[in-house]
Amino acid sequence: MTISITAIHALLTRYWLEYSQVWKLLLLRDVADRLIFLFAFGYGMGAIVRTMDGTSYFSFIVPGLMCSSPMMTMTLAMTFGIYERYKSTQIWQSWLATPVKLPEIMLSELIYANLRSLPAVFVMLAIALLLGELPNPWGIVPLLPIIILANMAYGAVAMCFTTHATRTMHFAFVQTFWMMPMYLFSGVFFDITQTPAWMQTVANIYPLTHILKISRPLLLGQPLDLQTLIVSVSILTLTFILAFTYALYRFNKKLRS
Amino acid sequence: MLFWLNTSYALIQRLFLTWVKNWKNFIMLRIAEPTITLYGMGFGLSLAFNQVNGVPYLNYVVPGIMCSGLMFGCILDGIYGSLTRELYQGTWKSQLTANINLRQILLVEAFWVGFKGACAAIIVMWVGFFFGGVQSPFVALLTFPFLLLGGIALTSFGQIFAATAYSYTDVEYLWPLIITPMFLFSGTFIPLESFPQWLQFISTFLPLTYIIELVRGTLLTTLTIEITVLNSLLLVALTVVSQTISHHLYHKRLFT
Repeated sequence: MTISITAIHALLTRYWLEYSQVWKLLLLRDVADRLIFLFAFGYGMGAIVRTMDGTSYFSFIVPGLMCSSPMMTMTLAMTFGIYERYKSTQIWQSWLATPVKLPEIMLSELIYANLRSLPAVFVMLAIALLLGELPNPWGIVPLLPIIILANMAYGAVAMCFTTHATRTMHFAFVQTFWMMPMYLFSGVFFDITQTPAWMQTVANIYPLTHILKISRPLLLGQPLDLQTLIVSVSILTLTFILAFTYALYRFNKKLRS
Repeated sequence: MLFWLNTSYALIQRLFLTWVKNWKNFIMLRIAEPTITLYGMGFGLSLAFNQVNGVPYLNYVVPGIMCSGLMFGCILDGIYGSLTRELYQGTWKSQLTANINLRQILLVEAFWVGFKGACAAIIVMWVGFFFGGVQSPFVALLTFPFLLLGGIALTSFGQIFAATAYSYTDVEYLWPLIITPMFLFSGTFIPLESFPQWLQFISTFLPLTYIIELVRGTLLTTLTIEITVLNSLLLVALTVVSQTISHHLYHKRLFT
């Protein structure tokens, strides 16, 4: 299977036109939502829980909120967004009538959602930096490629759910049983190494847990274990490859028949 | 009066029949989600700190999760539900051709949604009891009138925004502006006293703050008569004002 850059470029141009129409509302919602969580937990919880895992609670949640924001954007885009385009407006079918192939469409959807989720990350970074709660802001440079990889992983997993959905109502289940538990149990708000063993096992299923293991040491200037880095990155890569292959297989069956 | 009750019963019956068709989704969304939140927040954060104002954190957070579930259920149904029935399905227009007036439709919907939300909150309370976060589940049943009143007030509040929108995306701005702040800044998971002054000031404008005060007071048996009367009156006032405004807006929209 060959993937042509020209096709992806053409599709991304189309998304760019779409995004330039609606970017204000999308960005406002993403950024405002994260900021409200940051203030609520940073100030509110921070007043009670002063330190966690050796840093101030405010600093502790910054990397978590920064990485969970793209997770939500990706999951929503790869469920509601894709469903609208392949089922409601059937625009995927029109694209497939041109030389564009299915894996190229899926990849460009992932790349577009990925790019769209990054401004919110930088806004969070800037605000945490202004408030003086980010010890090592340069950690973002090595972190950024890993965030993009993790985004690909969440997006591909969400695509797998979409291939099984027959109504938009089903995405409420994705939110309740995939997105919310991932947000709560993967250690955005508390240190998971303190939780019972079974909860850590559950947490290790979620891609968000693995990116948090890398992002927290990098942004807070703590030493990063090389083994953790390699294991987490390979798990994220593997998740992406498996989920993407499965979603491709399912979409192929659905759209060809 | 008898006629009014009869027609209201018919309206509720219709809403009930549509609910029966989707009850599985209702159970999933309104009960599974608060349960997961309870597990994540209650257990996760009680590892970090045990007590809030002398109360175990799990006991503290159960009323918060009951009320946040009530808030999501009611305000979303008030906004998206009435938008669906008024704009997309035209249900209200058909109902108005019968001997039913607009005020009655708005009130009956608010009552039904509030009732549904209060029942879901009671079930969440039983889940909390199962996890050991509620002392006496029977005393906790006394929260039902407060939950019902709060549900009616929040649904009426949501109807105002539905009356100004012409599609689902028109109400998107409410998420960062009202729904998420209400979820976090009205004392659901985080005690209000730990916020800075300006955030505490904002929380006095959020209706959920008053509902949580009532429900948490009942569950932790710290409720005083003044708070009960004052908060209940505020919620009734919110209902009356919201119903008046949304009636005015919908009247303009449907009859001109």
